[in-house]
Amino acid sequence: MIKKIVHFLEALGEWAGKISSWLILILIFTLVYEVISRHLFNKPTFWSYDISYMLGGSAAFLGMAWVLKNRQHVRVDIFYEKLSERNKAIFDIVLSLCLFFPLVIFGFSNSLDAAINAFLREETAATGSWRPLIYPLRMVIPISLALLFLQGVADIIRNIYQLLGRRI
Amino acid sequence: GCLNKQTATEGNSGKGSQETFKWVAHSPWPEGTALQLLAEQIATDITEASGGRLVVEMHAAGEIVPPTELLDAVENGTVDAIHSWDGYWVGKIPQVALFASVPMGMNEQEYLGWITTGEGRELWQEAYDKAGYNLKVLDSGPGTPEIFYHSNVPIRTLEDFKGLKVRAVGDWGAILERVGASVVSISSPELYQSLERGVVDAVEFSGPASNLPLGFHEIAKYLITPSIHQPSSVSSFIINQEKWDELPEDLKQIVRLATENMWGKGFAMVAKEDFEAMDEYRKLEEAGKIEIIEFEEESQKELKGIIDKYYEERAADDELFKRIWDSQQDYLVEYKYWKDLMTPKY
Amino acid sequence: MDGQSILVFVLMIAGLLVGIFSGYYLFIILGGLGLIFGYLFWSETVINLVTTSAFTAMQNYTMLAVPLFIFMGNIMEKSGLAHKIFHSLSILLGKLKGGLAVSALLISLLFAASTGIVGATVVTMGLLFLPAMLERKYDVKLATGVITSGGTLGILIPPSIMLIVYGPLAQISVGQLFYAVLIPGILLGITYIGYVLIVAHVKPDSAPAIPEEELAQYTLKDKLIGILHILPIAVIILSVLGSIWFGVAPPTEAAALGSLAAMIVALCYGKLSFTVLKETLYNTLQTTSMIYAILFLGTFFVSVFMRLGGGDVVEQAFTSLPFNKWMILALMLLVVFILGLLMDWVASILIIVPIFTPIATGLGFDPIWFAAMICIMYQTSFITPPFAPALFYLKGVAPKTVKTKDIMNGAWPFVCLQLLVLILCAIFPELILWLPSKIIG
Ligand code: NA
Ligand code: NA
Repeated sequence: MIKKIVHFLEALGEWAGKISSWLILILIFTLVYEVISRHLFNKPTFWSYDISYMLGGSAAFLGMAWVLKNRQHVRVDIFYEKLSERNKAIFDIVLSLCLFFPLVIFGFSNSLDAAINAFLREETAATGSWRPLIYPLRMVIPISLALLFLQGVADIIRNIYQLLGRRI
Repeated sequence: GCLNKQTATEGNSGKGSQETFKWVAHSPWPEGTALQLLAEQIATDITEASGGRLVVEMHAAGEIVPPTELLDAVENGTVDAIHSWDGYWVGKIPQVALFASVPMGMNEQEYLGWITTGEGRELWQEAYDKAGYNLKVLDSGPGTPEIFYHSNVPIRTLEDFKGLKVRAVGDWGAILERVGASVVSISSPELYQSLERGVVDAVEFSGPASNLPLGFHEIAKYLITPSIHQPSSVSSFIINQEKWDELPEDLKQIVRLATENMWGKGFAMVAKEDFEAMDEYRKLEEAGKIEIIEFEEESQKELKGIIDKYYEERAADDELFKRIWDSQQDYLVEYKYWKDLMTPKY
Repeated sequence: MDGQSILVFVLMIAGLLVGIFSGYYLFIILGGLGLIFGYLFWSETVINLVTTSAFTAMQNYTMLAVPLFIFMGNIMEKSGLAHKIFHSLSILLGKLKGGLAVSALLISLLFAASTGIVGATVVTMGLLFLPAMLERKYDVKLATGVITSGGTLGILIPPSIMLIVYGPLAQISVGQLFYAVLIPGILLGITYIGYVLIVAHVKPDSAPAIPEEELAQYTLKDKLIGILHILPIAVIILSVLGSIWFGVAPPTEAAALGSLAAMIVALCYGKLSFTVLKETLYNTLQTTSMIYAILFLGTFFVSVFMRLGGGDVVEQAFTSLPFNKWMILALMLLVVFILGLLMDWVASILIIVPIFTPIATGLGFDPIWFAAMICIMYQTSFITPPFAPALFYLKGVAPKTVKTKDIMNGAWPFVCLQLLVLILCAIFPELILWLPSKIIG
C-alpha cells in the first residue's frame, strides 16, 4: 500500500517532467519560426517573444520534481558521501523538514494567491504589443511547488523505510 | 477623491508626536544613474525634512525586486514604497499607459498642469483603485525626452518606416506596425548586438544620458530626434496603503511635498545629465562620426493623426481609459491656445 | 548600518557555507535559509519574494539559451554524432599529448563566444568532451578543469553579453570594454592550453596520447574521412555564430537555429529517431530544471540578503575599513566570488558595478582597467570553489563516477592561472589599456 502511494507520488512528477520536456522542442520551433518569418516574409511575429519565455520557463519549473526524484539536483557531497546509508536518511529527513517543506508549502500558498490575483485582475504580459493573459504562467509556479511537495513526501517515506531497514 | 478622505484623519499629529517610522523603498533605476540619484534625493529629503521621524531607505535596481515586480512588492509589503515609472505595469493597470508613455502626448509642462491642477492626480489614483490595488499613489515629477532612434538608415519621413526592422515596445510598437514597420521584440541585453549585426535597423532605448554609455552611436550612424515615442512621462512614488495610513498628517504632508518638489528639481537634475550627453553627441556629429536627423514636420503631423486614432480606438472599449484620454485632450485645448499665443517665436 | 545588519550578514554567510557543505540539495539550502532568515529578522512577508523570484526566473528571456544549448549538446551526444567527432579528433590529434583537451578548449571558446550564459557552454562541452576524455583515460581533474574553465572563458571574449551589460553601468563605452578584455582573454586561453600541454608532457598518464599501435590501424583514408566528420560540427557552430555575425538573429534565437541544425545533421546521419529525440528532450529538461532551480532560489536568497541590509554592510565595509587600495580591490573581488554563485550574473552585475566603480575611481584605479579586472574576476568566480556555478552545472551532466570533489580540485589549477593573468594585468595595465587606446583613442 505505502509502496503504491510512493510510486504514485513519484509518477506524478515524472510524467509532468516528461510531458513538459516536449515544450523545449516547441520552443526551438517557435524561435526558428520567428527568424524565418522575419527574414522570408519581413513580418516578425508579435507572439514569439512572450511564447518563448513561457515555454522555456514553464518546462524548467515543471521538471524540478522529476529532477528531485532522480536525485539530480546539485548537492556538494564532499562530506555527505562519507555518511552511512542510515545517517544519510536521517540527515535528509531532518533537513527536508527544516528547509524543504516550509519552503514548498508556504511558497505554494503564496504563489497560488498571486496566480489567482493575476486571474481576477486580468493581468497581462507587458513586454511586447501582444499582451496575453499572464495567469497561466503564474499558475505554473504553485503547480511546480505542489509537485515538488509530493515528491518530497515520497522521499521522506523512502527515507523512513531506509531507517526501518526496509526497501521500497 | 482620496485626498479629501485623508485630510480628515488629522488629529494624531501635532508637534509632540515623536513616533518614528522607517520605510524600505525601492526603484527600478540602476545605482549611479541620474534617476536613481533623484529617487535617493526624495528619500533624503523626506528623512531630513522630518527630522529623522520618517527614515526612507532607497534600494536600486535588482537589489530586492526586479522592476516589473515592484508594484506587487509594494502592495504585499515586501517593500514599503517605490519610486518608479508606470510603464512597467501596463499589463496590470492598462490605463497607467497614459501616464507612462504616450507617443506625441503631453510634454513635462502639460503633465505638470494636468496632474497638479487638473484632473490627472485623481484619475491616476482611481486607475489603481479600480484595478483593485490598495496603494497610495503620489506623482513625483516628469520624465525627460528620449532619443527617438539610433539607426543604420536615415529616418526622415513616415515612409522611411515602411519595412524597417525596429525595436519598439507597448503602444508605440502597435502604432509603428500600423505605419508598416517590422516591430521586433528584443531583450535589453541583446539590444546592442542586434543593432550591431543588423537584426534590427534601428533601436529606441532611453534618453541621451542613458544611451551614450551604451555606445549605440558607435554602431549606428544616425541619431533621430525628436522624442516622438515619449515626449515625457510621470514618475510615481507609490506607498503601501497601511504604511501611508499609519503616518501622522504632518509626515504625510512632508512626503507629498518632497515628491511634488521633483516636478521642478527632479526634472532639472535629469535634464542636466541629458543635455550634457546631447552635447557629446553634438561633438560626435561635428567630428563626422554620427549624423543627427530630425524627423520631418509633415510626417510628424501625419503620425499624430494615426496616434490619436489608435488611442481613440483603445479608449472605445475602456471607460476609464477614455475618461483619462479625454481629460488630457480637454486640458490641452485651453492650455495650448494660451501657450502658443503667449510664447515668443525667437 | 546597525548592529543587527552586521549580525545578520555574518549569520547568513556562515549559514550559507555550512549549508553548502552539509551536502543537502543546494537549491533548497538557498531557499530554506533565505526563508528562515527572512522570517526571523524581517517578517512572514519574505514568502512573497519566493513567488517574485520564481516568476522573474520564468520570464528571463536570455536564460533560454540554457535549454537551447543543452539540447544542441545532447542531440550531438545521443545521436552518436559526438562520438564520431571525437573519434576523428583523436585520430587527427592522436599523437599530441593532451590533444583532446586542447581541442575542447578551442571549441568551447568558439561556442561560448556567442552567449553570456555560463551554464549553457559548460553543460554542452561537458556532454560532448568529458566522456570522450574520460574514455581516453584522461585524469578526471584535468578533464573537468578544462571543461569548466574553457566553458566560462567565452563570456569574457567579445562578443560578450556580460560586457554589454557592464559597460553602461560603469559609464564606459561597450566598444572600449570589448577591446580592453580582448588581450587578457586571449592570454587566458593561451595560458590554459600551455598548462594542458605542460601537464600532458610532465605527467603523460593524465592526458595520454593514443598508443602508436592504435594509431597505426588508421590509414590515410581513415584520416581524411575523419576530417569530413568534423564538417557537421562546423555546420552547427556556424549556424549559431554565423547567424549572430550576419545579423540573422540575436544570440537566443541563434541558439535555437543551432539546435535545429543539430537535429538536421543528426537526421542526415540517419540517427534522429523518435527515441533519440525523446531521450534528448528528457535529458535537456532535467539539466535545465536543475539550473533554473539554483537561479530561482539563489535570486531569492540574495533578495532576502539585500532586504536585511547585507548590501549596506558590504558597502560600508569598503569605505570604512583601514585597508590600502589593493586590499580593497581584493575585497571587491571576494564579493564577486560569492555573488557569482548565488545569482544570475546580470542581476549581480547590476548591483556590484555601480557600487564598486565609484570606489575604484576614488582609489585612483583607471575605470576601464578596473572594469576589465572585474570582468576577468567574474569569469574566475564561476569556477572558484565552493561558490562556483560552472562546477555545479558540470556535475549535473557528468558521468556518475565523477565526484564533486574531483571537479572542485580540478578547477584550482585553472583558478591559479586566472589569478596569474589577473596579477599580470595589475602589474602591466597596458595588457588591458593598450588596445582600447590604440583603436578608439
Ligand atoms: Na564572448
Ligand atoms: Na566562485
